[in-house]
Formats: sequence, C-alpha cells, structure tokens
Amino acid sequence: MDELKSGSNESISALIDGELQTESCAHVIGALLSDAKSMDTWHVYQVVGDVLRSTELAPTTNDLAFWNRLEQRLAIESPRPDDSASVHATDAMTHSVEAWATTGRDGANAPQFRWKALASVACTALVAVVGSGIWLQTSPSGVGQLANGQAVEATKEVVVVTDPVAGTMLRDPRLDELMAAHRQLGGHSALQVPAGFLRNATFEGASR
Amino acid sequence: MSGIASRIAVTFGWCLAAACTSVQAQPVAYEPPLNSWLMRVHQAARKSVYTGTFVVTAGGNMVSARIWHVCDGSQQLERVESLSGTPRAIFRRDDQVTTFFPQSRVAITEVRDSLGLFPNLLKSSDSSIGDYYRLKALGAQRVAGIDAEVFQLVPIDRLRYGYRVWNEKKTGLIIQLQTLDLDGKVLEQAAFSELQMDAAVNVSKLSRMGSTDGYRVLQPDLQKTTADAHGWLLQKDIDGFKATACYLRPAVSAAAASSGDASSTLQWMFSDGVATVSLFLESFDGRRHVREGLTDLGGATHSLTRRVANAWLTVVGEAPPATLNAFAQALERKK
Repeated sequence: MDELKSGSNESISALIDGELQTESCAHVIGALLSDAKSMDTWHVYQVVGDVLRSTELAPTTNDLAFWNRLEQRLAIESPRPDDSASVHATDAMTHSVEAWATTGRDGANAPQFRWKALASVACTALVAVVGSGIWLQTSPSGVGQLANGQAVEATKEVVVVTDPVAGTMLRDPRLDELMAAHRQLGGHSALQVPAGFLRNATFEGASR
Repeated sequence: MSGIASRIAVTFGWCLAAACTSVQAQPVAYEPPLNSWLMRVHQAARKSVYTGTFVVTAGGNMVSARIWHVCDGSQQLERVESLSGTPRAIFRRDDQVTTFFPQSRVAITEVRDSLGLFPNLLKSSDSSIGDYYRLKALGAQRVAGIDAEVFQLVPIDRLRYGYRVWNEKKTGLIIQLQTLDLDGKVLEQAAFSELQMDAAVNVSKLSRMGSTDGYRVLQPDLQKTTADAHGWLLQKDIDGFKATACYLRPAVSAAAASSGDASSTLQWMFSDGVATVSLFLESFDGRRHVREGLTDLGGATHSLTRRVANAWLTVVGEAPPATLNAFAQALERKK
C-alpha cells in the first residue's frame, strides 16, 4: 500500500509496462487487490493501452464526427409528445455513453473481469521479467535490433489513429483490398527494383 | 506512461532524420543521361548482394522490413520479412513471388509480370520516361553509413510527382527514395536504415526459405484480359501514361463473397514508366457505393471513386489527385 500511495500512478504504469522487479511487482499487485481506487486507475490505464494498440478500439475522427452529427441532429429534432419514452431512452443512452467515455463505468461483470484482468497483468509482468532476462542473456548483440523493431512497432501504434492510410479517413476494407491489389501488380516503374518492389512488399500484406 | 515517451522520441528522431536528408548535398559535376542512369540503377538492383532493414514512411505511418537479396547466376533471390503489422515474409525468385503468412500457414504464390517489364520498358522505342521527367544531380551524401549520390527526377508537368533518389556510389543501388509533391515536399520515403553490401548470404539457405512445405498454397485467380473486351475505353489519353496490363479479379475479398457480392473486378493499369495508376471497375451497388470523390490515403497514394454508367470506378495511384481525376473523366463505356 505504501508504494501505491507514494507514487500510485507511476507504480501501476510501471506494472503494466512490465518495468517492475519481481518483488516490487508482487507488492504492487498485492496492494492493488486491496485498493479499489487503484484498481480503477489500473483499469483506465489498460483501456488507454488498448486504445493505443488497437485500431478497432481507437475512435477515429470519423467516429467522433458521426457522434457530433448525431448529437446535433438530436438537438435539432424536438421530441414528439408520444415519443417521450424513446426520447428518454435516447437521453439515457447519451448519458450512458458520455459517462462511459469520461469515467469508464464498470459493466455488470466487472468483478469477474477484474480478477481475470488482474491475473493477466500478473502473467504479463512475469513474462516481461522472465522474457527480458532470457533475451539479455542470449542475444546481447541483437538488443539494438530488437529495440529498433519495438520502436518502429510502437510508433506505428501511435500513428495508426492518425494514419491516413489506415485511420482518419474512411477505413474501408474494400479500398484496402484495392490498394493491396494496386501494390501487388502496380510495379511498372523504372524505380521499381529494388525500391519500388521493397516499398510495396513492405507495405502490402496487412490487408490480404 | 513510458511507452509514449519512446514513441514520441522515435517519431521525433525520424522527423529529424527527414530534415537532415533535405540538407543540400555537395554538388557533383556529372549528370548522366536519364536512360543510362535508370539502366545503372536497374543493373545494380540485379547484381548487388545485400542485407538490410528497409523502412517506409508515408502519411505519418511507418512500416519496416528485413531484406535479404542475392544474385545466384542469372536469377535473383530476395526475401522480405515484415517487422510491422501482420507477420509475413515475401520470397521472390525473379518474377515469382510467394507471400508466407506463418500464423495461418498460408502461402500465396503469384507471377508478377510487371517485375520483368523493366528494362524492356526502357529499351523499347515507345519509352517516354525522358519526355516527362528530367534528371538533376544534387551531389553526394552519406546515408545509413554509405556514400551515396543524390539525384532528383523532376517532372515536367503537374500530372506526376517528383522523386529524390540516393544511389550507392559504387554500384548505383537505390538506398533511399523520396516521393515529392508538386511543391517539392516529401510525401513518402522508402530507405534502408541499415544496409550491408556484399553481405555473406547463404544462397542455398535463402532458397530453402522459399519452400512452401507445411503451408496451404493459394494462387490468386487472376485472368489476363483487355479493357476493350469488357467494353471500356479512355476517350482521351493522359499525358505520358500508357496502359500496361489488364486483369480480371474474381470477388477480391472473402467478405464480399460471403455477403453474396461475388462480382468480379477489372483492374486496368497505366504507367508513365515511374508512377502507376490502377483503374478498378466493378458492378455498381447502391448499398455500398455511396461516396464519390477523392480520398487522401496518405503518402503519395490517392484514390478517387466515381460512378460510370452501371459500374463503380475506383482509381488508385501514386499520382496527384488531378491525374486520377483525369483518368476518371476520360473513362467511358464503348458505344
């Protein structure tokens, strides 16, 4: 508990990032189990992590634009007397979504989820600790390369939300397919080998 | 969270790298004719042996791959292993390309005719690269620890993008390529972040990497055809772009097939020798085809959609929007 109180957010963040030593890890997990507020913080961090990592979970500009348009439309349309029930339902939904968006309200199965999630955190931490140890022991010369790969992947995670190739515009699977088809066959370029082929080969695949 | 800091640091590092590469290089006196420069680039790609890490940045996105390339007698072997996105490895033996998806144990094999087009494209009398681009020597620069000569392909009109190219000094191998917009700003960059020339690559080991043992092998069902056979024509040529191939693709996606939309798609390709534009034509479907217009896909690639007669046209290409629009306006049904 002391560790959580002294720097709770940092400890939880470090736990999620797998940066804690085994002893500290066990200590923080123990403290988490006995502190509901810390559990909420941990949950919020997990959601943030999910959003950063996942294109499906990440709200795109399009989603937000749709939501804004929907709200404007709802504001313009005056409720009809015989529609009070549906208006209330809409209001309730709006408030529910807003509350979810701002506070991350728990679902009915939250207690069950917490235990499962906590177990997964413990596993993640264990894998991170053991994995990093194995890596450092077996591949000292490859550390730079691994770091480079991780860095590239990490950067991709961030840009995926703002990436016009994949994100802020329309995420149309059909267009992705046509893009892939264009890249597969669209190699009629004098600069095509190696740069063009490698460029296309490096890009393509995700949507195949 | 510490992860974010590292991401920002990497992004910043790339911005810095991009800024550094835009610094003027030392001038060189020699400016070779465009065609001989292109031929040197092509020969270098064929004959060089190298391994490296290739990084493509476009529209704020960054993907990378590990490359092994060897020349075994008359044939080229190449393996491209993705470091980003879906795990996959692409193995190329000349124009035979196999894409391995290790997670699903699926391998897609295909012949890419386009890979064999060059240098025939250059040798043919109708090659017009020199009519639409001019070569400008920018000097010498060091990239990824390698001495390079820098050239710029400058388009003569606004229908195509320009390119800045870094050639390895001794061989001419392209080690960095930037696509520049009409104002000269970098749209996209493809470059080796690390490159070992004349690396000791085990040819037989690399060949074995192309084995599809243990994989379910799929072949794309592409049929060669002509646009004319399907009743399409361009009523006006787009300057410098020539039709290079036309294929019929049966329902491209599993999603389309499962939704009952099993109509085929025609892919008609054009190139000016450097840039490529694909026209995709499929049956118009009012439920799916609702948005006409341009989509900025980031980097140098754009797409434009339009209904033409009873078909839905999607133009995709590494060309300015005006070029895609010119194609879209020129396409029509044969009367």
